[in-house]
Amino acid sequence: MITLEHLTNLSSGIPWGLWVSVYIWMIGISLGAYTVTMAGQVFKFEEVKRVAAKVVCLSIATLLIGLLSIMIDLGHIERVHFLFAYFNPASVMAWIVRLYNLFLVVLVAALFLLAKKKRMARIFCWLTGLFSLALIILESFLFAAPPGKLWHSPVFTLHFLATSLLSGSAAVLYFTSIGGTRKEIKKERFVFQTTLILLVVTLILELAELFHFRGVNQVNGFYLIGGYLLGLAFLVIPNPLTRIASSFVIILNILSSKYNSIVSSQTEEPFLGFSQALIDPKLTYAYRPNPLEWTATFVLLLLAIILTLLLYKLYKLAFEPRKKEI
Amino acid sequence: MAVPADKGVIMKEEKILERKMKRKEFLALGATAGLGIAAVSLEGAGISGAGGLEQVKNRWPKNSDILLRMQDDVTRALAKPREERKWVMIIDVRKCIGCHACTLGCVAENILPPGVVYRRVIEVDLGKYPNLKRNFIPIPCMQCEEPPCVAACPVRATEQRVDGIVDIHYERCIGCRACLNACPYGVRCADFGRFYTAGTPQMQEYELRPSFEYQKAWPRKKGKSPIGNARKCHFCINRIESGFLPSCVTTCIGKATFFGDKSDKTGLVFELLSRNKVSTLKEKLGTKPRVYYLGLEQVGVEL
Repeated sequence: MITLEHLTNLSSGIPWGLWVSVYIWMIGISLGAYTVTMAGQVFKFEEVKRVAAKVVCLSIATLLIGLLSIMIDLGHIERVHFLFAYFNPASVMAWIVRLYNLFLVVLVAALFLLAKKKRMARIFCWLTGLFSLALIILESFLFAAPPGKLWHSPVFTLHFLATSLLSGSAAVLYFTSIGGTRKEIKKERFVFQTTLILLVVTLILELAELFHFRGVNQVNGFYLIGGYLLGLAFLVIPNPLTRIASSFVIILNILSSKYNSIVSSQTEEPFLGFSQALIDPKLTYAYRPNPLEWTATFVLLLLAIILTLLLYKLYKLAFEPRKKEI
Repeated sequence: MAVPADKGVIMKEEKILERKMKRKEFLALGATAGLGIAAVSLEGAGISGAGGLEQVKNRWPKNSDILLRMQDDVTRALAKPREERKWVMIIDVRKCIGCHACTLGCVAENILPPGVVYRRVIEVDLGKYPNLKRNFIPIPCMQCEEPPCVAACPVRATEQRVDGIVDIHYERCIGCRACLNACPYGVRCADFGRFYTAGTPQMQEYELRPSFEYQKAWPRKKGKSPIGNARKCHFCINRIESGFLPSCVTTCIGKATFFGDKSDKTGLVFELLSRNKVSTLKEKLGTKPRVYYLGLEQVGVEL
């Protein structure tokens, strides 16, 4: 526990730090990528069909690593099963834990459908795509629901939704761009256009938070906007390498965006003079992740990449020979 | 049965006259007793006229110790079924001198580790030199009637008791800290297993002593509750159930904190709530706190 305390720096007035940001970032990629893929499947875009299995593997990996990052942040990790044993219907967290498990089942089912039939039933794509979209909105309520917080800004849920979809779309863009030629990239425009629209919407919402609602740290906000603009600059160049660079910049920038929106609100003292309230130690509302927290984050990120590759490898091993037989 | 119109009017006038007479008699009684508004409030509280007030006055003369009176109130409340008790706290910020005795009393009572404080006393500085004003506002858990923390807990580890106190089931809490973020008053803390004497040549045994929160012994052992849990003020449930006042009430030097059963119409807290203009923190959020403040408007800021 001593280690955990140092890792999460929660002796300060900030209950949720970097690991919670990583959690919503990972979950956002998982849900966003799946939603964009299902939209591509519904409207029969070849580029999406080509990478669907890879995206589903990524969704499974990021979902699992996202849940792992929130688990290591718990005070009593050994009691994690209580989340299923006791249910509070009024708690958003209680619902999302159950729905994530359902989403995992959906992802596994999607992977099997892709392997068996090479294409999924349209109704399945519709339903599960909408389900993942609803999950992103529900996830945002975890932060938007508590009263008296800056998360209460009118655009928080929209911002949350836009960033999650954008991170997912950028991940799909990475898969479609890898190994692609200039000609193919010019022809396949669905993922590019989706990413572009979402990026513009995210930029507008980020600016709204920054200048109007003040729900985010303003200094960090300027860097964030710079990051999005860089991603945009890379995105508009029709080159596979710049598209890959763009997807990386966007995905990493969204981690900063999630971190900024989660932590900024908690740096507000509940009352004037609250930081003078404690005798030992003084309650601080400043938060900077320590090296151990960063290390754990890099390990989690690495794990997510390894797990995606491993899952895709297993998928190919399990289903490729059958294709040959046929 | 139909009543003739003129007879109906007469009956109405008679009733009005009767009411006027009753009001006159009552006012005369009130004036004779010289009790003013207090008498009205106590009459409303079910203490019959001057006799009831006399009864309370005889038992608790003006210069009697309020701690003894509150102690008596708690004893009386405990005789009632739990669901009939409504524990409330009243804090008079005009009397608070910012000595932090309540904070330390609470730390000693509940063996609180570093970083866990149930009752903060915030210092609010207002104005500019030489017109400077400093106020002290103790902030315990508000034991809200509509607690956002209870709704946030995914495992129902925090619940509202029938007597209004919001408690935490230490053995069920998973330490997700959703309740910490849900609380608009910032009164919940996370226990990360720290010790004041950690890193010194010898760990002091007093830090390992168990606390007796929620009427159970909780020794401080790594990996065992309350380490890793969310923690908060519970109005010293263990003390109340044994017939004692909360630690912060008994340690308050300025006698600025009052505690008792709101439903006891002869109790001190009921009297204070009836006689004074009280306010609560962050009223707009609709959490309906059970901690009331006297003189908060003098602080001059919206809290």
